[in-house]
This record gives sequence, structure tokens and C-alpha cells, in this order.
Amino acid sequence: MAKHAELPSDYPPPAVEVRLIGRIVDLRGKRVLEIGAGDGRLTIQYASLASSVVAIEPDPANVALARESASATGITNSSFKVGTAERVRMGGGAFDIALFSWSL
Amino acid sequence: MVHALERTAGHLAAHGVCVLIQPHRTRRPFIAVVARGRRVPIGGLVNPAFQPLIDAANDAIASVVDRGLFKLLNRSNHQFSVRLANPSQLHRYLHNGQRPPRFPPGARKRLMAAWRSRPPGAEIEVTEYMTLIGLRRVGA
Repeated sequence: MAKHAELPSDYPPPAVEVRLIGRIVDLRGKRVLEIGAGDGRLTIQYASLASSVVAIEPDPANVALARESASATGITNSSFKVGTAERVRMGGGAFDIALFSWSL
Repeated sequence: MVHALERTAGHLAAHGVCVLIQPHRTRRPFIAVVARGRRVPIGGLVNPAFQPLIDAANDAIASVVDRGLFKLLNRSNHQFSVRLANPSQLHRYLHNGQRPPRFPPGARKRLMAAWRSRPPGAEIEVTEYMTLIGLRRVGA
């Protein structure tokens, strides 16, 4: 559906992507790895569904914004790291779901 | 891109799922002037600088599926629209990204002509196209 955008964004309106992801895989209770998380725009939309989220993003400024957004929205199960899929080291075991949102 | 998918596979549990959201492979943003149920289509934009990146991403996905690293679960196309108040806002919208699309020959002139003759309350509609791809890890 059309949305009037005061500050236009070329991303889908909030909740659209999470709903579409849900058609492929159930995010509830899953351990999620998000690659190219940007400023956390999508992460904060689904994080409360997941058991935990590790979101990686190469731009430190975006990571700082994502951390602020997560904090402001009360999200405590997500960690944001500077890095790329190719280079970042991740401990804590395997992930159930990996997300590339406009980032491959 | 292939390397990113390979590394990601290594971080996924057996039968874990990788979901990719990307721009549609060929469909670029479409512009129309809309008002009170009336829609004047202007045309699709072009983005030659962006196309090789989209193609490379799709080639990387095909590669990891062909090599048996992932199995294709699902591929679906979707669209969404935003409404913009005027051509100036459209310009800002289109230049949000690093590789903005551009009007094909004649399209900007058509847009401005349609905008000059717009009815009250008209807006510019941009329809965007995206693809969701689900991959399941195999061979873990």
C-alpha cells in the first residue's frame, strides 16, 4: 500500500519485510545473524521476536546508530558489531537464520 | 559476494535458513503522478551503474545453490509504493542511495508536463520492486 513519506525512504514501510520474511522462516525464538544491518532499521523491527540477534555492519557510524536505536526501543537481545560477513569473527554457536537485507 | 554467502553458511546450523532481500533483478522504480484515483504513468527509471551489482548478487546466489551449499527454498517478487509531495521531494528520494537511478530520455519532461497539469492534491508515486530469496543450508 502507498505510504506518504515526509522523509522519503527507498526501503519498504515498517513491518513489510518482517511479514515477508515470516513467509519463509519463523523468526520466533531463533538465533539470528544479520549481515549488513546498516543503522539497525530492520533489526529493531524483528529483534523482539528472535531469541538473540548478532547484527554486523561495516560502517562504524551506522553501528553506533543501530546501538542507539536498539537502546531507545528497549531491545536487549541484540549485539551490533563492526565487520563484514567475510571477516567478522562470531562465537556463541551456530545461527538458525541469516539475513541479508539489501546488502549482498 | 560468493565469499559472503560461503562464510554465512559456515555460521548457520544444519538446515539453517538464509533470507536475502534485494532489489528486483530487472525492474527499477516506476514513477506516476496520482490524484483522486487518477494515475498518469510516467515510466520506469534506469540504473546502469547498479545493474552489474544486482547481477553479481544473483550470480553469487546461483553459484552457492549450484555447488550444493544451499538449497533454494523460495523466491518471490514484491512491490511497494511511496507517495512524494512534489518533484523536489522525488529528487531527494532518488538521491538517497549511492547509485541513484535516472530518468530515461523524455521521462523527466513527461513528469514535469504531468505535474504542471496536475489536479489538486496530486502526488508523485514511486513503485519499488524487490525480491525475497530463501535458502536452506545443506551438507552441514
